[in-house]
Amino acid sequence: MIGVLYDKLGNKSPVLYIDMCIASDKSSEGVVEIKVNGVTLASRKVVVEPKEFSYIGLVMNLSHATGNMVKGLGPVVTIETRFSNSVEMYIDSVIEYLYAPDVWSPQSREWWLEYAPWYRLLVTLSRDSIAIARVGVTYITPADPGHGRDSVVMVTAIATKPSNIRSITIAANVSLHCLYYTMLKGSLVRNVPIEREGTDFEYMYTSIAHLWSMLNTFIDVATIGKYFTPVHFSKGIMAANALSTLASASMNSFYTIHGSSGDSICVWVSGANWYWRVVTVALAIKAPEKLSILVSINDKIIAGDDVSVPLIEVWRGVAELRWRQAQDYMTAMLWDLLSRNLLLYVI
Amino acid sequence: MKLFIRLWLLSIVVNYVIAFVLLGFGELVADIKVFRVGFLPLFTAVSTYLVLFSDVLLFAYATRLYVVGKDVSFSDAPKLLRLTALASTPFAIFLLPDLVAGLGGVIAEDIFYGATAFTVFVWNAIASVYTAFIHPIYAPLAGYAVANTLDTSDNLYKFIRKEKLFALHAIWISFVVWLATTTLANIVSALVSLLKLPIIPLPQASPLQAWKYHWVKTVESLMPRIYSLLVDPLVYTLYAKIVKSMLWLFR
Repeated sequence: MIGVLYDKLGNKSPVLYIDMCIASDKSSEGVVEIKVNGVTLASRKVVVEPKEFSYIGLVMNLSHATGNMVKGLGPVVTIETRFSNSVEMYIDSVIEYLYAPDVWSPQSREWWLEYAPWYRLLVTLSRDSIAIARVGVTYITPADPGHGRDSVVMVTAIATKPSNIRSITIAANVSLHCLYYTMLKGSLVRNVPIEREGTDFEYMYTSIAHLWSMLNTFIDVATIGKYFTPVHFSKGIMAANALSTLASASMNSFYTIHGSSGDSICVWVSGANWYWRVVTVALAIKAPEKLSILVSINDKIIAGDDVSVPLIEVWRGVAELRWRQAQDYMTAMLWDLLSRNLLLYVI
Repeated sequence: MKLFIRLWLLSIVVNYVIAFVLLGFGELVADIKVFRVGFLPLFTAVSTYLVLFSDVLLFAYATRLYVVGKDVSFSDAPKLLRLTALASTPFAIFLLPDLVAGLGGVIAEDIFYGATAFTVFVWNAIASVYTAFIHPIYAPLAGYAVANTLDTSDNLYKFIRKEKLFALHAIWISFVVWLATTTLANIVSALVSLLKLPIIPLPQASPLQAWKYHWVKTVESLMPRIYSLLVDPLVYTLYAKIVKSMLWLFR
């Protein structure tokens, strides 16, 4: 867990910031609890008056969160709410890792697999509500390598309905490489016990995913498959390819589509896991400094924003390269994360 | 020529049935509002079974026409289908877990999530080894058995067990036919790029409709192409012709 790594260096990291605005049509009273790895860190009573926003701001040091039930994936942050009436919640949260000297420079796939910053936010909601719960993982290029402060910023919006997303905030001093949102049924979020994460079962799936990949390569080589021709005229091989294609398509995938106008769209498709009923991402890179972010959920665009990300001179020349590297790392990281947790991956 | 046209027509019907099944399941999976996790193994089971079943059927039909030298009348069709279904038992067994997990995953997906995961990612890896390496040998053998037992009361599996030499020679014949028809298909599709189009046009989706786009592209990659309609019957004709000219090898 990356937090543990930093604890040794600074003992003050990571830090979690949560800002919540709560609104309701009716008077409502309730409790908001913030849990990290299942342990309650903060609990606040909130009174919501009609047509007013109630605000909760919390800054928490997560350095004690050494128990990492998801092995290498960072703390699991849960926001539990109990209100007498239904409310709308707008949540911005940032998790910040301080004292990170060289580790942010991309090193290897293994590095990502072991230390990839990962942050999960759980929100309990009523059965019939829908949450856009979490979850951004960003790969951040340091503003000034070796001198400046490196950080990881998560962008999270949560609402009881997709249409309630009002804004997306992005820290201006970072280069955001991927943004994605996940929508879950409230019932899933509430009913799935956290303990299911990090089980041996997930690791079995990781092994299987690797085996699967090896098997596909073997079939391709043995049949001179894709190396020889895109066309197969054996229905057996055709069926094997179909099985392989359908299984691959059922996994989480992360890819970039290059548009005809020169922009790129970074897409994450959830695959057949607990993220089902999801999702879109979409980050259009118009230029290294200019991003156009479109968030669509259930195949419908619900929010969009243009963001300028100032990159200092030293990074300007390599921004594009970095972006490509980041895609590779993100792909590797997501592949592992998602294949490791495949279907039983639970927020 | 008449026999070839009949084989060709049957092959067209088979390809369109496969395409429509892919399209139907594609619609179900791509529509996030109706998506159930069970659709994935069901999709896998039905489409794979159909592809493999049609393979045995076409092998049986071609063998019947060219090797046995007898026609298949309309009155033979039910028996032909029944025998093909019987010969399809091995891969039906392989696909049974998909079917069970699929139905479970549609009716009670929360309960069947684990089973679905297992079948889609684990079991199907085993099934794909079968389809890639065993089926190309088994399908012609099964087709040969179906063609020969169509108008007899012989037991299909007894016949298959008897024809060990056929199975042995099916390995190299399959490879030769695969190489020849694949090369031809590549030449044909390279000369006329329109032939690479799917036989049924798929509805397009914007990349921003991530889910739909993803599945539309997936289904499109699986869809039979126009060149399939041209080359598919050649696979079975060539196979049957080789078998006929090499029958002495199997005795």
